Amino acid sequence: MIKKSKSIFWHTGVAERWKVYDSPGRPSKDECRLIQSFIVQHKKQPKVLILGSTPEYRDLAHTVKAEVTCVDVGLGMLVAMTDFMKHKNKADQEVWFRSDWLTMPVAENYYDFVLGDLVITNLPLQLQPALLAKIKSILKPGGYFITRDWWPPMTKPAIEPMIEKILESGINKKSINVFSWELLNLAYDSKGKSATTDDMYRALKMFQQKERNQARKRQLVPLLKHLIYVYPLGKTWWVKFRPEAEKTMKKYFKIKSIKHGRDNQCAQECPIYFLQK
Amino acid sequence: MPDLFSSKIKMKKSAKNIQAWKSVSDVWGSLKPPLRPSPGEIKIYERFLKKTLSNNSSRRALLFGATPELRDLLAKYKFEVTLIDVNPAMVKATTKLLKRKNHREKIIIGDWLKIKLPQNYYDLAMGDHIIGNVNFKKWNHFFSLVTKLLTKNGYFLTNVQLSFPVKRSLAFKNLIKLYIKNPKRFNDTEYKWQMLYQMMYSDKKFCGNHDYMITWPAIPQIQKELKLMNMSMDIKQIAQLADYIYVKEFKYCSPPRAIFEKIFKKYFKIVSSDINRQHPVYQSYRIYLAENH
Repeated sequence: MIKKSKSIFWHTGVAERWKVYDSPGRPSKDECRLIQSFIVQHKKQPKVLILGSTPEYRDLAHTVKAEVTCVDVGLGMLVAMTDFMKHKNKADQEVWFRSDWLTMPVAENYYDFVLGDLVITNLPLQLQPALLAKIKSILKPGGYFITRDWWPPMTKPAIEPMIEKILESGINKKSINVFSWELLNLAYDSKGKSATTDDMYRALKMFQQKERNQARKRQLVPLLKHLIYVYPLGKTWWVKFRPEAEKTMKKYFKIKSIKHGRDNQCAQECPIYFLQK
Repeated sequence: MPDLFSSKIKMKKSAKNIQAWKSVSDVWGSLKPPLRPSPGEIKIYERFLKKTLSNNSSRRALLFGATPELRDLLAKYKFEVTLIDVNPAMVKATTKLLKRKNHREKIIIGDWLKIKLPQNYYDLAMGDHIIGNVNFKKWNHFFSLVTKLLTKNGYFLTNVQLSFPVKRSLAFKNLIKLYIKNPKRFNDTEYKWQMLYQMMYSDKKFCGNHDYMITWPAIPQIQKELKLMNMSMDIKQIAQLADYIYVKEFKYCSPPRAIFEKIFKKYFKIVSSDINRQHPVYQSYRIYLAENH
């Protein structure tokens, strides 16, 4: 089972850190555009359920005049994330559920779309089929589950080029997000099919300790601080390689389309799945 | 850690009545019966709740509103609770007052009449003084919705505020005089509310026949009345008389017992009903246990 206390702690801090997140940690403009145009093409005034509080998804759902329901484990999270919405006043019209996703008390066959950003990876592997089954049960026949996912690398990337790149460009919102993502790829454990922020931090710390160039060693200190702020310790993601992940998805849905945003350099690793019931 | 609820919550659910509930949530912790369930009513609730438990392995409850006393009771009997309330500030305020934490409690922030929940799922629907908050014209819709969410033999357990039986009318002016004469007597909240009910249910200004709607005198209204009567009272006294909560207009629906039961019986079979007999203020608060048809 998921380490509940640590995980919840990590989750509640997301709202506080949201302002420092950028793609691929949160959906990019182009990724939102792809999802929005897909919804518009398929349904007018749809019923949309959002797994989590992702402000970008809530905004796009309101843009298409959807009836919006959000499900999150914390009400505080839903309130706090409202501040990051463009259409804050529309939050009044949303229905909020404080519940976990597996047992959310939601009407069956009701929603046209379920949206979730990197949601599958939040659950341990053994619970992922149950999540897909639950989503399927609440979707109308022909409804879609649209989710950004993560394709972990087949071969481990090297740490040195990543560090070279960020030290060269300087630490800013964009670079630290891309760097963190690359480090997450490095931390991916293909046997355990998981990646943890602890391993991300450990990899960078080890590199710093081994570094002989004192000037560069000093440069790595703020990088470590930024990393631990953006991705604090205690978080695990569970991810299968693409073929295995899609095999599970196909048990519950038809994969109608896979799209990628064009406005961020990690978009190829973050496919948007359009899964039809 | 910042208080995530404080200022931002104000924008959530902007209707007038919701704003009134915001003020209720601010002071909920300090409210006393009859504004919160009395110990006598809790005993009735518990007695009725026990009746719903027999031969039933699943315990799924749908709770309208966030009343902490009912949440504690449901936690005591290990119910898996889904709570629906329109106001997150109210949920937060009342959650702090819980004596028992129910880790199986799910919370929904939304309108009772608009929520889409699994049908034929709940063994029990419950709520304290909920029906009065639903517009009389929508009662049939609300009851029909509850029946659909309940299992075939599911129960509905609720306290309903029926018309207060006025034996001797009490004019607003006389209530104010009574208060000015002996303000300490009004520290007894049960007595105070008995007087308030007596006044309100005997004055058509507050108790219109239209849809059995009761309109509470908000502080500005009390000030206006005092001015007309050439009487003076400081704002603190007025606030105390109004119980601090009715800063803005607050309305609820309170029909006679026969009218309520006529509609109620279309959807439910009344198993039992009772009132707290410890104080006259509770004579119009009737707790019903009813079974789904």
